[in-house]
Amino acid sequence: MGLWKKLLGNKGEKKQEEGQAPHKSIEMNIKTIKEILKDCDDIVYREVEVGVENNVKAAIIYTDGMIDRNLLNNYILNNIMLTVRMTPPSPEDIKKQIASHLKDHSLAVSEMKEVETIDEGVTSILSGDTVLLIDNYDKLIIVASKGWQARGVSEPVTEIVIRGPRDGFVETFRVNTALIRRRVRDPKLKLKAQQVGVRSKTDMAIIYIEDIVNKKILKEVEERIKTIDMDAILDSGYIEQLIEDNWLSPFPQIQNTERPDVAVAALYEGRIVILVDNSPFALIAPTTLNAMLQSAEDYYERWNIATAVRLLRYLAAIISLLLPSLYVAITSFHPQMIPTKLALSIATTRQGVPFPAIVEALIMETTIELLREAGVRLPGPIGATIGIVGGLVIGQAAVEAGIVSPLMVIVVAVTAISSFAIPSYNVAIGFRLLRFGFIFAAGSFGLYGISLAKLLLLSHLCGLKSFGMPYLHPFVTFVEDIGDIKDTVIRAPMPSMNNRESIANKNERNRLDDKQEEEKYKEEEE
Amino acid sequence: MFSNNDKISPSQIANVLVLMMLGTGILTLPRTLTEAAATDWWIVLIIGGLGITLIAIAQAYIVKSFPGKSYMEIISATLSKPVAYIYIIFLVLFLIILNGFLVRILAEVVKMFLLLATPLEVIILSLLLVIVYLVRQGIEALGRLAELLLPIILVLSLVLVALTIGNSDYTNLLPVFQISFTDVVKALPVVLFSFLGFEFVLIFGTYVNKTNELTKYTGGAVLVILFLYIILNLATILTFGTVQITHLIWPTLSLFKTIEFPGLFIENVEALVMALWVIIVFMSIAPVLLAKVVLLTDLIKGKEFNYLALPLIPLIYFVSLVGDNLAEAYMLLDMFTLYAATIVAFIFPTLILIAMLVKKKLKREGSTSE
Repeated sequence: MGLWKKLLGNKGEKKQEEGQAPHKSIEMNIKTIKEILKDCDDIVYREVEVGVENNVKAAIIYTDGMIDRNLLNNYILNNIMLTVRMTPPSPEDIKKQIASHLKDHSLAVSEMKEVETIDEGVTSILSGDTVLLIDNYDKLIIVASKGWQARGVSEPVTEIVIRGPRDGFVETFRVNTALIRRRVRDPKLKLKAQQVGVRSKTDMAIIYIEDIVNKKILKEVEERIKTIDMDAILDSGYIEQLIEDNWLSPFPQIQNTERPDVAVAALYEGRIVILVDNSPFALIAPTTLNAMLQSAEDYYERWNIATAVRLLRYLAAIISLLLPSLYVAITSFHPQMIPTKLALSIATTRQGVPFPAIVEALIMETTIELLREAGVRLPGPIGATIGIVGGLVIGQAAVEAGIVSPLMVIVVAVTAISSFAIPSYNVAIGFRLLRFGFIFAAGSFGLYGISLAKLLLLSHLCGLKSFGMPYLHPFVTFVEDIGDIKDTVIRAPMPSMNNRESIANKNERNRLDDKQEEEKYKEEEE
Repeated sequence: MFSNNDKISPSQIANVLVLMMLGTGILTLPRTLTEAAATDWWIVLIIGGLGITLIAIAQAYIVKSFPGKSYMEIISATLSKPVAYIYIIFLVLFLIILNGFLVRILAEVVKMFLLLATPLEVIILSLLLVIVYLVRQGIEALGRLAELLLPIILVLSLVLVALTIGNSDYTNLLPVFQISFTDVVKALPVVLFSFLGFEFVLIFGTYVNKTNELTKYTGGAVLVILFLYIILNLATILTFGTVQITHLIWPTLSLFKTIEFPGLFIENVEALVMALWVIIVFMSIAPVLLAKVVLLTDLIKGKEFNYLALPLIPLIYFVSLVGDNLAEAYMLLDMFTLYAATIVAFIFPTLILIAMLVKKKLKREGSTSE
């Protein structure tokens, strides 16, 4: 039990934080905040005095580098220090209500709120807002003043399309929510923000379209997010791993995307999008293997081309999983399957090779994985070069040195190319890992081993669920959800895709506008 | 969290049943059927198939009348509790033995066609372990896997059958209508036993979510098998003729061995067919293990059933090694099915049905007399 606990980590109780109410006196409040933020030298305290007689004390506190200085100087400090003196009523007349007067008449900022505990105020300071303290007022005024150096919206790096929008999510939470909102002008689009991570207090939002989303799945997502207990959430990858169904599986059960159009398409299908601050990757749940093998472009290109590309992609997935193991099985167990001439030529090329086919396959597969990993780590131009140099030179040299046969090099190259054709990087990794399992199965039991490994893999996939959604949907509910096949291996013509997938709420399966439909029927009747 | 032992749809159970029936009859049916009825095989097959359809529908009707009840609860309600306990224990033993034989035959075929040098024990154990993994995933995973695999298997087998048309000789079908009525009756058991597997609707029926559609889908499943058997038998007889078939152990496999693709990358599809066939038989063995586990869970009133899968494996393994060679194993299996399977698939369900109908009638009379 002790070892198990150490392995899995200690699941501590969530700390309950009691909020401390602000004091009437401004000195006390500043002292408390300074106490909490001791040795935090990036916090700026600016104490000012308001009024003609300079008899009301005020202070602003903010984190340097996270605020918009322009806004702070021109619209907050300028107003409370200068404008107040010049315009009636004079502070002397309204001494009692100076705080509410400042709040309602002087501060020319668009977003402002009040909080009643010091802790909330501190969190606001640390998130880039400015806290305004006023003497004799026992609330903290929070002015939204977030503004920092951020990366601009640029083209997503991991999901490139030839046709389609070029904007991608960035690290700033608000920009991302705006990118989604711009594509859904519907009051039913809900965006529930909350903070996760005991220390990091990372902003995140669960986004869905209220009437399309499946309420059961939504509830499950919300409940699982509530159970997250971590000190810091640095990327959406943390959340993905903390709320997924089966952490033993090599397959991702939550999709991620850098493209706002993909995220919004998922929303319109009734899925749920999770955005996390500081991460350009949005999460989409629930997802299916089928969705992972789709690209945004499939919907922007004409249907027959998209269908052909999808067929190719499914073929690529199968090749990247099976080809090396089939080579091993056929050359070492069932040479009678292939035409005699080819069998002879394979035998000739393998003549000088000292290893059995499985060792040969493992050597080459490991080499290509090394090349790929090295290519990712190296800076751009060198990365591309190492692929070519490594691939060509090592392949050629290995054949000439008699370590592997030329056919093996072809097999490995085709496999590698196929695995690049899978649009979702994390699914491709899953297939890459499983490929080695298949090679071992083929090396020990031939085609029978491949059949068994296939059955094992399919058993796993059939048992896998993503938030209650079968992972292989709709292939495993073929008879019930035959309509969903329209968006799988094939991509049906756009006019015929008038129904949502069965993920969505049952009452909102039709995508068409009801009014327009009725008019159409009327016209037909006339 | 969402569990995987929840509910499956009627279409999924139909797919499971189709694959179970396919696995038992596909290998030997052309030989046994031709031995029994020669060129009039199709009369026997159609009569038998339609008969099985009716029986299967009747069994589905039993399940439908007790929605959500497990097999043991159904027996307890109709034939009293002690009978239920005794029968379930008998059924589990039956299924262990059946499982052992099915695994043995698969392993023998794999050894003969694919892995000549690999020991039988290794083949059997590797297969059993994969089956345990599937069973531990639960009934939902099984239903989904069946629904995923069946369309692929159907399309591939029809393509393979279509490829054998080139070798067919249509005079092999003649002469027709040579069979007498008594011969038909004598040949019927051959057909009935090749449809075994449909009776599992009684065990898995408790997990179906739309029970009122169950009869339709169960009948449909048997008809799909009937169609497939007719096609396969036709193709086999067209290729080999009635005399040659009787000398082949597994005529269907021999049939696919005749397919050749000269000039293509794959010249000989035999190994490929075997790989496909392994999947079919796997899908007829895995539900048997799952059925045992489900019945045992009912018996001991357990909640989670996936822990029971692994402990059964040694028993199945020992049963699978009974019989020194294939001929002996087949002989034992034939005897075994003749007696035990008749009880399990035909006699006992009929008793349940009668008891159920009688009770219903008594109840109705009781309520009308009041």
